[in-house]
Amino acid sequence: MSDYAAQGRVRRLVLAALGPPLVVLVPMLLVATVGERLPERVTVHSWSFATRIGFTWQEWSAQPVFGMMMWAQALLVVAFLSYWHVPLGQRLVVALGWTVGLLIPVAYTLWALGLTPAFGGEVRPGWPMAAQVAGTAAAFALGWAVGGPLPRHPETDAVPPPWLRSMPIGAAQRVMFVTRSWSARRLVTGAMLVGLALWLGFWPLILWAVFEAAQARTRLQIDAGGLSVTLPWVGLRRTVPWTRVRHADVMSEPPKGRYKLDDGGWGWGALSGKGPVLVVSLADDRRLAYSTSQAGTAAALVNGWLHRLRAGSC
Amino acid sequence: MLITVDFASAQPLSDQVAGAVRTALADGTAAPGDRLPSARNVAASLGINLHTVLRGYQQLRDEGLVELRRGRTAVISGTTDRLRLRLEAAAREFAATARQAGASDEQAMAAAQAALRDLP
Repeated sequence: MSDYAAQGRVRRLVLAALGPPLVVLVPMLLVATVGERLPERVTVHSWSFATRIGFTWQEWSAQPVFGMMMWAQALLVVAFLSYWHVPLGQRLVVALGWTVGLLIPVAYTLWALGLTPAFGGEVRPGWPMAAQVAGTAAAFALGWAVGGPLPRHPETDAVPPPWLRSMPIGAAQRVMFVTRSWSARRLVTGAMLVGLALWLGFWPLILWAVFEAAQARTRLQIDAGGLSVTLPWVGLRRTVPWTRVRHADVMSEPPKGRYKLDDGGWGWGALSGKGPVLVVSLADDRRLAYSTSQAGTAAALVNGWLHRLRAGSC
Repeated sequence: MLITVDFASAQPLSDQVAGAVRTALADGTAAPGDRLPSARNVAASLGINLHTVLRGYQQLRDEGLVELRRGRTAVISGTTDRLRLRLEAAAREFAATARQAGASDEQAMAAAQAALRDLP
């Protein structure tokens, strides 16, 4: 099995692991830099962890952020392992690691600077939020930049095996195939989250519900450009060009492994939980799986396109 | 839904687009209530003119097979006569085969009637 993700993987893992320690290092650096100008004692009320009154800045800088750092580190490593064969996912983990590592310190810094007489002693309303948003975006962009470049995606020019059904496509023919799929599970999850949000009054759950519902409806299109999976409700589209496709086959039921719209070690796709399934073998040894009642037609068309493009015939 | 056009064919491209939808209806891969791919999408994917696709969709509307809605959305009509479409598709295939074999109209009709008589 070719492991194209191996190139630069250790570097990306190290970069991802560098993010969380910043949660500890930045407050320490802050205290070391401006600690003398801060009040002698500090009161922390309704902070992320607990209400503490009257502890010193040295104590503050060593507060439960250390535990938070360990949790963040563990989560990032687990996320990185799940993307072991997906360089793009690894890059995302690096960016998230740097975001986590800088977001909390930025909030700390703004809060602490607002307490120092040298910086006016108070923070203007609205300014910390704007600075935090900008800091978060900058941290993500920085993490994304250092997480690249990614190894070149493997390509193939192999003709599909002869035993796979193939649709003849003439030189003067143009063919497109479109099918749609629904995920009842995503819809039910979205509805449950809306219900939970209303019941608990915790509105951020609505965002999660929208995220789930947005993935409930997908469209698969096969044409001269390759295979595209679209989320019509949000207008997101992902295309696999023919150069990354080996062949396609049909399975009567979903294949073993995790096939969701985001990448995983097995591949990606949209499965409705019952067959038949179009299974497209990709050049990076993963698969694209899509549940459709017309999986046979879709697979034959994929193989037909590949024959036409690679063998010059059908 | 599979849509195929052949630039080498004498049949107009709009007829070919309409024919692909009729075939999908006849073989059951498209059903009443299904949305056709947008005309813009079909035109871009097949590399043909948007108006050509729209002409094909309008043919289907005139036959009562689809409803054209605002925003150039085409939906398979609920009153689609699938039996008629299947018969027409089978007849077209039979006629093409007969013509290819060099049979006259009378011979083809006689063969079809004989085949119908022989059915249990």
